Amino acid sequence: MSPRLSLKYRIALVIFVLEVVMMAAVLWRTLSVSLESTITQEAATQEMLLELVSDLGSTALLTGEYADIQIYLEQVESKPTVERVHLVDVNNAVVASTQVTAVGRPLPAIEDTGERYWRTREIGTAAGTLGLLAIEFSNASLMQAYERARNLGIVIAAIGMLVIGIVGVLTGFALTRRLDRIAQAARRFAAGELTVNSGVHGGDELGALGQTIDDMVQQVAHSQEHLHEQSEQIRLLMDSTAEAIYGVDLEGNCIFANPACLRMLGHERDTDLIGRNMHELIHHTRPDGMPCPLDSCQMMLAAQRGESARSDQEIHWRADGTSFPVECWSHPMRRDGELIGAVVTFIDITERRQAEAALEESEIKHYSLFENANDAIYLIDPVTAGILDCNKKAAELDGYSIDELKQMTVMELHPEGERDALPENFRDVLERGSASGISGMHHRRKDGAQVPIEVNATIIEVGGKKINLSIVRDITERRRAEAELERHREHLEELVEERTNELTAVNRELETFAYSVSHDLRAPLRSINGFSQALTEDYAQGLDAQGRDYLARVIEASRRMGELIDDLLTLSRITRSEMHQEAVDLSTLAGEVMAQLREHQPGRRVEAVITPGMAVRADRRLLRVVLENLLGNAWKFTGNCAEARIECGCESIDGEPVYFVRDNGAGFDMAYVDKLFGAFQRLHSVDEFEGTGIGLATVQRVIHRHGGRVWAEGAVNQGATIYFSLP
Amino acid sequence: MEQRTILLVEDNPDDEALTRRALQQNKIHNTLFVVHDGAEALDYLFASGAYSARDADSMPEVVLLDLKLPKIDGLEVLRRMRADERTRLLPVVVLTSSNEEQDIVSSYRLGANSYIRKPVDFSQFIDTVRQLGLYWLVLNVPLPRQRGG
Repeated sequence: MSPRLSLKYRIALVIFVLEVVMMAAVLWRTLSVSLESTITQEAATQEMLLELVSDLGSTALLTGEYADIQIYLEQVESKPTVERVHLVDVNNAVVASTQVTAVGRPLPAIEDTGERYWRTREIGTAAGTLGLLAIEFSNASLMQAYERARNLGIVIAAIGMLVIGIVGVLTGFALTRRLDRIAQAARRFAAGELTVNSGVHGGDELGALGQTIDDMVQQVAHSQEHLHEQSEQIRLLMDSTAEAIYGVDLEGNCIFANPACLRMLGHERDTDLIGRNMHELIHHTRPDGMPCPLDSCQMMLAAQRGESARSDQEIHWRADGTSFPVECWSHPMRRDGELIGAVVTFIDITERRQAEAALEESEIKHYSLFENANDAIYLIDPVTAGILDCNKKAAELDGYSIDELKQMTVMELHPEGERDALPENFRDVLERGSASGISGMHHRRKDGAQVPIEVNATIIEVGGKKINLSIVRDITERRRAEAELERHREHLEELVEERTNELTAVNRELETFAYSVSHDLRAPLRSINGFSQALTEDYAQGLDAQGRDYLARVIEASRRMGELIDDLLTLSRITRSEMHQEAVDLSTLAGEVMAQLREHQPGRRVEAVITPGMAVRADRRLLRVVLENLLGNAWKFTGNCAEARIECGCESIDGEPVYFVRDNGAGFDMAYVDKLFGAFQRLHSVDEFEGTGIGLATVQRVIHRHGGRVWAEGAVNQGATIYFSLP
Repeated sequence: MEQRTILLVEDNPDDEALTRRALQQNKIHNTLFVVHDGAEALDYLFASGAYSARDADSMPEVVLLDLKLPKIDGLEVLRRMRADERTRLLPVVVLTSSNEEQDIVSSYRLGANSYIRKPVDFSQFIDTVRQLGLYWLVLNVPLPRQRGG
C-alpha cells in the first residue's frame, strides 16, 4: 500500500475537501447575502437621494433658480456612489449638472455602462411635468468593498483550511499510528514471521484489535508448529519406510513419491516421477511381456472407483528398463469426502519369489530324496502304526508293493517276537520327538526272510498332524562287515603284539649294539692311539718329520673318532632313556654348567649373564645335557672374541616363555639354519672350531622329547641365539 | 718300599700293553699281574684252579677290573669278590671302555671303589692312571694283612 493512499492521508484529504467545500459555501453565502443587503440598502439610499434631489429640483425648476441646486448637486456628486447628476427641464435642456459642460445642452445620452447605471425620476407636480432628474450611480466602490471583503474571506478561509489540513493530518497520524503498528505486525505475520507482537494494547477498539491480532498470531504460530511437526512426522515416515509409496491423481499422474519408491524404481529425484503417468511409467508391461493398458489395470480401476486393491502378481519397471516383482496396495485418497486420487504402496518381492522358488525346488528335491532315497522311508501314523506312505526302497526292502504296504501297519512288518515292544517304542518316539539308531529289530519280508534293520524315527508335523517318519536301513551288510571287522580286530591285536615283540627285540638289539660300540669299537681305537703315541715317544728318532706328522694325524684321527662314538652314544642314550620330569631351576643349572666351562678353561675371559629364577619342568639330567651343549657351543664359538659375552635368559613370545642362549661369537649364516640341528652337520671346519656336529642334534632331541620347540637365529660374526621352549 | 702287586683283569692284549705302559710312564713300578678272563681272575684271587699253588693270603693291593671279559664278566667277578670274606674289602677299580650308565651304577652298587673309563686318547689315560696310582698305591693306607705279615 503506497503512503499516498494510506488511511491517514485519506482521512486528512477528506477532512480537507469537506472543509474547502464548507468554507466556500459559507463564504459564498455570507458574501452574497452581504452584497444583496448592500445593494438593497444602496437602492434605498438612491431612492432616498432621488426623492430628496427631486424635491430640491422641483423647487428649482419652479423657480428657475438653479444656483443652489448646482451646489447641491455637486455635494451629491461627492457621494462615492454618485458619478453624475443631470437636472433636465421640461425642454430636455440640462439646467444643472455635475458636468459643467453639459449645462445648457440637451440631455446627453444616458446609457448604462458596466458598473455604472442611470436612475431617472420625473419631476412634476399635479399640473404636469417639470423636468427630469437623472443620476448616474456607480457600483465600483461597492464592488471594491465587496471584493476586499471577499478576498479577506478567502485569505481567512485559506489560513483556516491550512490549519485544519495540518490538524487533519496530525489527527490522521495520531489515529493511524497504532493502526500502523497493527498493520505492520499483520504484514510481518503475512510475510511468515510467527513471533510478531503488535504491542498495541489498551481498552479501546484498536487495543482490542492489537490484542486480537497478537492472539491470532500466537494461535497461528502454535497451529503452524503443530502442522510442521505433523508434516515432519509424515515426511520422516515417508522417508524412512522401506515400502515404496506414491500418490496419483484421478488420471493416474504422480503427485508425490517417497525415497523408497524412487530407489526401487531407479530414479534420482521425485521430479522424475511427479506429473508422469505412473501406470505408463512403471506398469506398462505384464510379466509375460504383453502390454498392460491403463484401462485394464485393476489397481488403477479400483482406485478410480474409490476402492482399495492389493496384488502380488504384478511387476514394476525401473528407469533402466529392468523389472522386478512387487506386492502392491492401492487406497483411494479423498479430500473432504471427494475422491481425488489414490495412494499406492509397493514392496519388492524378488527375495520372496526366490525363496518361494527355492522352497518349491527344495520340495521337489525332498520329494525326490524321499522317492529315490537309498534307505526305506515310511510315513507312519504314530498312534495306529498304520503306514501312510513309503518309498520304493521300502517296497524293495519288504518285498511288498507300495500300495500293499499302505494297507498295512508296521506291526505286520516285524516278526512276532518283536511286536510286543513296538507300541512302547512308538509312544516313546512320539513323546521325545525323535529316536535314532534303534537296532536289534528285523523286518519280515513278504517271502518270509528276516532282515536286520536299524531305524531312525522323527516326528514331523504335516498340516498340524503329527506323523512318524521312520528311516529304515537294511543292516545285513553292515552286520557282515562288523563281523569281518571283529575278526580283523582280533587279528590286529595279534599283529600289534607281534610288532611290539619285534620292536622290543630291535630295541634290545640296539642297546646291545650301543653297548658293544661303547666297548668294542673303542678298544681298537685305544690301541691305535696308544701305540701311535708310544711310537712317537719311543721311536721318534727313527722317524723323519713327515713320519712324525703322519703319526700325529693318526693319533688325532683316533681321538676324534672316539669323540664321535661318545657323542653318538649320548644321542642314542637320550633317545632311549626314561624321562623323569621335575621342577628344575634352569638358572642354577646354567650357572653350574658355566662354572664347569670356566674351570675347564680358566684362562678365558667370558662375561656370562644368566637371568635368575628361571623355573621349568623338565628332566634335570637331559636339561643339563641341553645346557652343556648350548653353553658349550657359546663358549666354543666365542673363542676368538675379544669381549666374549654369553647370555642365558627368557622372553615371552606369544604368551609362551621361550628360553635362549645367546652369544656374540662366530655366529652362522641363516641360509644354513636348517642344517644346524642335523646330526654330524657342521657349519665350521674342525680347524676353526672343534666338534662332532652332534651337540645341537642332541639338544633338539631332548627338547622334542619334552614336547618343546627349538630354533636358531644368527648372522656370521654377529653371534647366534638358540631358542627353546619347554611346555 | 714293599712292591705291591697290582692285579689287572684284561682280555685285550693291546689294553694290557697300554696299561703297562701307562703305569711305567707314571713310574709305578709295582708288580703287574695280568689275568685274561673272569674265571682266571677268581682262580688267582682265591688260589684255586691253575693258581691253587699260590699263597692265598697274598692279595694284590688293587685290582684293575675290565667289565667285558670272556667266561665270567667283570661285574660277576666283582660280585663274587664282594661276596667272599677274603676279598670283600680289596680295592677294585673298574677300568672299562663302557660309559653305559647301567655299568657304572652296577659297578658301584656291587662295591667298586672307583670307576674309570678308558679314554681313547692315550695321554688322558696316562693322566688317569697317574691319579689312580697316586691314590691307591701311595695315599691309600692298605688294610692290614689278615694273616701273617
